[in-house]
Amino acid sequence: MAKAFVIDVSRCSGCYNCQLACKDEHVGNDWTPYAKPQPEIGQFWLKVQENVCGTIPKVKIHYIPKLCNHCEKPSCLESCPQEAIFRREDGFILINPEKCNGCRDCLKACPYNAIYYNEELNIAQKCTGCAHLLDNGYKLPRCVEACPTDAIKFGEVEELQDLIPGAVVMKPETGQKPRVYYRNIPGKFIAGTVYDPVAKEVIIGCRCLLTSGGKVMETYTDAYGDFWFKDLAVGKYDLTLEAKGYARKHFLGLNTAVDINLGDIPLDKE
Amino acid sequence: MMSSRLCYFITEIGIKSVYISPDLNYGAAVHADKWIPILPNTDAALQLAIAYVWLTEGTYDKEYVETHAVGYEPFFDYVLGKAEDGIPKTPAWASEKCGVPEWTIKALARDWAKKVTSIIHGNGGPGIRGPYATEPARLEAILLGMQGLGKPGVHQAKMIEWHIHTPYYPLPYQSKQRPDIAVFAEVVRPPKTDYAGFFAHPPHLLDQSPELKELLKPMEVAPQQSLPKCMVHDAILNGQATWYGLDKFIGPREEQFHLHKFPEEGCSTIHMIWTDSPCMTTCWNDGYRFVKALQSEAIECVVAQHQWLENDCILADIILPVTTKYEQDDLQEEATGGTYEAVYREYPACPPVGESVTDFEAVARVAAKLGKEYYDRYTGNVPTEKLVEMFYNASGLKDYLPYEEFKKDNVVILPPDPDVKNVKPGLREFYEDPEKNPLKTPTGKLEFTSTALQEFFPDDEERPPYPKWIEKGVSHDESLSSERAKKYPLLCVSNHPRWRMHAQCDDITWTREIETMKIRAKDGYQYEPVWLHPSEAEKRGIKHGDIVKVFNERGIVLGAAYVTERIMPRVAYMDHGARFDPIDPNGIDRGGAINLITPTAITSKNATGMVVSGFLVEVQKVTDEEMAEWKKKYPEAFARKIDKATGVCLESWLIQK
Ligand code: SF4
Ligand code: SF4
Repeated sequence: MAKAFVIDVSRCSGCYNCQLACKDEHVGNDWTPYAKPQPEIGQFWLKVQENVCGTIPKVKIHYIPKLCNHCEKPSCLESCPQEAIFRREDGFILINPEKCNGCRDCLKACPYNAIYYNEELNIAQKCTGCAHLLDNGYKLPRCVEACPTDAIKFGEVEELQDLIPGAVVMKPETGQKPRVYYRNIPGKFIAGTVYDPVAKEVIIGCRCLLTSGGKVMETYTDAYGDFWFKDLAVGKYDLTLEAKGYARKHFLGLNTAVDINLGDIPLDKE
Repeated sequence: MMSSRLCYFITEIGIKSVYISPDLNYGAAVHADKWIPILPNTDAALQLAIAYVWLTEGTYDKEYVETHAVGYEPFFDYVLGKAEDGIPKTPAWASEKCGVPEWTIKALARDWAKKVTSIIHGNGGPGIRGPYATEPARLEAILLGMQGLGKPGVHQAKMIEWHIHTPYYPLPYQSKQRPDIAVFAEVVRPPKTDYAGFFAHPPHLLDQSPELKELLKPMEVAPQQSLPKCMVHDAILNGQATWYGLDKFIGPREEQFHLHKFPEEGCSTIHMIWTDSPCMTTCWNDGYRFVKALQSEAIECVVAQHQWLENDCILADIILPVTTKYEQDDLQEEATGGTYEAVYREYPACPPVGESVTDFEAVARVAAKLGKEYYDRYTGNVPTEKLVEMFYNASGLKDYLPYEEFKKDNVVILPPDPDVKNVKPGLREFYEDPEKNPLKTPTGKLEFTSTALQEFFPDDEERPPYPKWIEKGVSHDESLSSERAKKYPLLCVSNHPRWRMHAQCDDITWTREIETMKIRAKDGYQYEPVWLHPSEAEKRGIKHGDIVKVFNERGIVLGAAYVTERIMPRVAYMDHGARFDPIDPNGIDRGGAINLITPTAITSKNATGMVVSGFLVEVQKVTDEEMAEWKKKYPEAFARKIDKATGVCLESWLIQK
């Protein structure tokens, strides 16, 4: 039995309700033995991360709410010399505030920076999965309950079986097996607008061919002369633009380490 | 949030959303299929070019225009370059002004003409609060008209405030029992001017509660004159003001042709100000001029009623501390949801903090000092419980649910109109039969050339009978083509704040931690973000998070640079409503209240509105030397206590004796 979170990034509107609701639950509220009060500012047991991608006017934004991953193999747990960090039956990783002596080893051990240090109380603190609520008849943690678009789903891993396949976790290379899954985190994009510099018109229906290591993707420019290749893996790409009556244009070796806006691209007549 | 859910729905059913704005705003960030950046307050140029494409390509609804509109020929001539100015409003012409590439303008015009298109506004914000904002607003109606406004899918919609507190604008699908609940403190005892009763309680509802009618009779001491808020500073500093129209945002169309003056015949100029919304510096036009007006010799006393010691309060002589609604016992309605409406009793959530009393009580206590008869007349000596009953009975719900019944649950939820499915959307009836279902315009048609403007202001070059592109005029010179732009080369756009309600909630600790709400700069102070495109920041040697000054002739407002691809070049963007934290109240503000340096003049010569977006500024990095100089010159400003979490503190204004 283990609980998990599944967050659909494409449904997150960046309202920050989850971040604020988490604070409302834990700032100034003493839930010992689950957790001591979170300080007024400075800690984000859940933090919404805003990602602005591309350049004007091909800019896309997505928000990723990040919280403790309640990992199956938590490095924090192992790092704690006081054995203050423990796993509950439902999989939640908790820091016992009574046992914690503020040594901060766990802060360094967590690759997700999910743990905060409370200077005043000299303890480490983080998301508790709102275990104090779940143990007392509540069905959902506060952040989940607060989400107006149902972007955050919560439940038993088994209940979420439809959603988990194809979802990703943060930094899988750590091997810690997070139990916070993400769906629809956009990949990189290559985009642009194709136009005729003499007629000063966009070119609609221009064929755009994107190749990478033998893989070919094809799209056509829309009513605004725009093309978008979305959800690309990081890598090198070659792009060819071809429209009837115009000379072909190539862009070689486009590197999607960052999202690419090729801007307004003039095509000359043949 | 409700709007956002609606936008997800719009996308899900396959409708494409095009966002046209200088900033990739919070709606566009999530819901836009296409973002077209446009320079602030230049929409009129884009709109005229769209009309040009439709006219030259014959892609507008000619038949509809002929049957549903009047006065279109002179407008079309103007667009095509056949009017006096001789300039065809081509996409190339517009591109220069609005910063949208010519090819994108044409593409937008064609896509719009091809698809069933509605226009949706978040609320209005900067779009209706720029210099000459009447023009893009009127042009929008014309463009919708050219595509058959009222046709299935051709509408204009607004995403919030679906029902502003007045029964004059009911939504067709809302309950048949339109409640009208005035919060006790809001009850308007109309001034004695003939036109100001518009926001007073509707007479037919008042008739249902004779006791309340008696209580709300205009008082003998009622004000004899009134003034639009955006002209208060002028009225004080110039000793007089004249304007057309109501002193309110909303009112009957005919009102805008009445000339008013201040002071009225036989009346006084302003000697004292008593405000219950002390936010002129943060939410209205040319805040520094308002500060100057308060400091002028004409003003002998300033009284402010407020919950916090902030903004205009710090300029007041006397402050009456009032409660928030959470400390009040009142009757309330929820009608902004659009479909369901609710009326409920609102009990206090906690006792009043400190010495605060409700606004109603604060005023009543002043009345008591004037004499018992004033107190009696103002309050009627009615206990709260009885007031609730009186207001409920005058809400229009008496017959639907008698007060005795209401009292059981203290809440009534009104269902939408059961015939909602038969209600025709928007201007459908006008579309179907304009003769039988005329509009409220003088001709009953869509007036591309306004017959009333033609009659009252035929020579007004700032709001001509048909809408035009106004680059500058006697009222404003705020375009990038202006001489002034050499010194102030950025157009400032100012939205309704994302993280506040106007000037309210600027001190909420947890929202202040969100990166787009405040930026903690190297001096530890949380500054209001100033959005700048990386290219503009680079030109000025500004880095993300640097303390910057936004300024023009009217003064300086500090902020911290938010360098982002979400804003177009040649633009600076700052939300309004950050708390006024004067270094020098006459020209330097650390809090980031951008309205301090917004234009002085109203929308245009004859159009009375505030102008608070689409104006020229320059942005520069504040050097350490400059900051050090200010610290030396204004030590008391920097000695004020700043809380790490909430910013400027109330205590910092208190002088202990
Ligand atoms: S589960 Fe509870 S503690 Fe964890 S992020 Fe959500 S609200 Fe915060
Ligand atoms: S509450 Fe939901 S929609 Fe809002 S920021 Fe969090 S995940 Fe996104």
